[in-house]
Amino acid sequence: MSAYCAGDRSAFERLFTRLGPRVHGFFMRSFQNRAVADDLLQTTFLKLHRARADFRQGELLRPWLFSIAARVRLDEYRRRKHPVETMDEENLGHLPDGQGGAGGGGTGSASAADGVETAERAEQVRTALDALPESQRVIVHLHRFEELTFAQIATALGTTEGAVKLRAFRAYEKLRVTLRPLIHPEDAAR
Amino acid sequence: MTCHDIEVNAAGLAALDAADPERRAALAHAEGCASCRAALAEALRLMRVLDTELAVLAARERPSTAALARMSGDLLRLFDAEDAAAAGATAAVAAAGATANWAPTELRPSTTTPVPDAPDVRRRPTRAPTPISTPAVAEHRPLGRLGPAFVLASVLLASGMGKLWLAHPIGPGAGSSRASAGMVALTSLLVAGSLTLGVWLAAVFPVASVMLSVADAGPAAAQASIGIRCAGFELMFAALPVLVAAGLYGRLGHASSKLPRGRGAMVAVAGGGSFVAQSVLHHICHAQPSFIHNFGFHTLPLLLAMAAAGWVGARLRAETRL
Repeated sequence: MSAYCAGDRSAFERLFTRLGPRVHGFFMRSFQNRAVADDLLQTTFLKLHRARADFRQGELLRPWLFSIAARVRLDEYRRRKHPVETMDEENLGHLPDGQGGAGGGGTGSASAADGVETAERAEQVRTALDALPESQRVIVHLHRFEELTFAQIATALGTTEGAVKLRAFRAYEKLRVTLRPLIHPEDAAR
Repeated sequence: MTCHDIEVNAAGLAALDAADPERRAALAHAEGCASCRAALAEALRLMRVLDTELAVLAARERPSTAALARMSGDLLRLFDAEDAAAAGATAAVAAAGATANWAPTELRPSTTTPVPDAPDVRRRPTRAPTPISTPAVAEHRPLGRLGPAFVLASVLLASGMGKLWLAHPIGPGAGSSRASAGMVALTSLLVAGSLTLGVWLAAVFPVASVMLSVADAGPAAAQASIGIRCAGFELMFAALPVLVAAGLYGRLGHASSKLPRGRGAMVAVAGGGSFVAQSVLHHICHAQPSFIHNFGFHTLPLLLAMAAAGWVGARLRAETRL
């Protein structure tokens, strides 16, 4: 990051290669549409470029980057006239646009290398995640996959740690119910 | 922790960090309760499933290497275009502000009488440093947040020094002209300091203005005919850096995010500009020493300029800090 801030272009390319897919994944969880995720990824890094002088060396980059991505996500929702804060959380998982269902990324059948079973398990998890309200879905992604703390997620999303924790708990409980067949495959096999 | 708490929150508890006290309390309770133990075991298996399958999903949804390279290239081209436009715009705004500084050459206050046979100072490159230096500091990336502050301070410094040169500070007045030049330089530093250390420093300007008005006080009348030009001079000197600052904010809002937001910055800049004028006028104004003149046509315009700049600053649309 310091090299990038000093003008090293190859440092930016390395940064983008390393963190771009993570931010892309964040937008895929939110909007379930690859084209939208691509656009928002570029918007996020453009904003990062503009704000790079604000980054304090020594701080963790990922939480800072995801706070930028979270604002881009919020701007996209506002552009679509779906303010996250006022919507019933249960309806947030059913926005009219970009509902690629399968994520618009052609992730249907498994390749031979993946194995059918692995692909099916991943698809079941994706379906379970997609069924969550969007605000819960992004928290699960940031907490479980990006390994951000509740405090970091709260800062990124502009909310309180308590609210993040509550949504996370609700989300995990729903997933526990929905993914019970995966958790107990021996029960499903009977 | 009760069995009910664990039953309804098992998954959330399992998701907590291993050292989290809530998680540890739940696990401790589960050691003595079979149903809670089963619930937590199921929740921990859920976490393992999520960890595994989220990684699989991420790998499948990851953009291809070619797509990442294309996006990276597009972004770098966007960055170059944006940086060039920002630097160019800042240079243009700062140069325009400095050029405007040359324009009111004839707007000299009072009855400054040119010294016979003295060279025409308008031909001297006394203000050349400003249009040269401000584009140079317009590419302010290496200077970080100090860049825009230096732009504004240099505009002020050149304005004040230029006006002092214009007034031919040679001969009997040389001593006070050096004092005025020192005050101009100090004011420029204070403006830069206000923008980088804290706008509270701008409080110095009205205080110093009152002190200067008192120091040069006398029993003479207001001398309005001279005073009106003095007031105009002060307001003009406040307006020029405010114009440059507004241009910087407007074109470089994202890069000037280290500067204090709108109102504070504009008040500091206007106060500094106006006090530079007062410092110059302290030397070249030929009004008779008068507190009424000083306060009415120097301090009050300074206060008015700061208030007006605050109003302007409140309306500037500064980019949200990310």
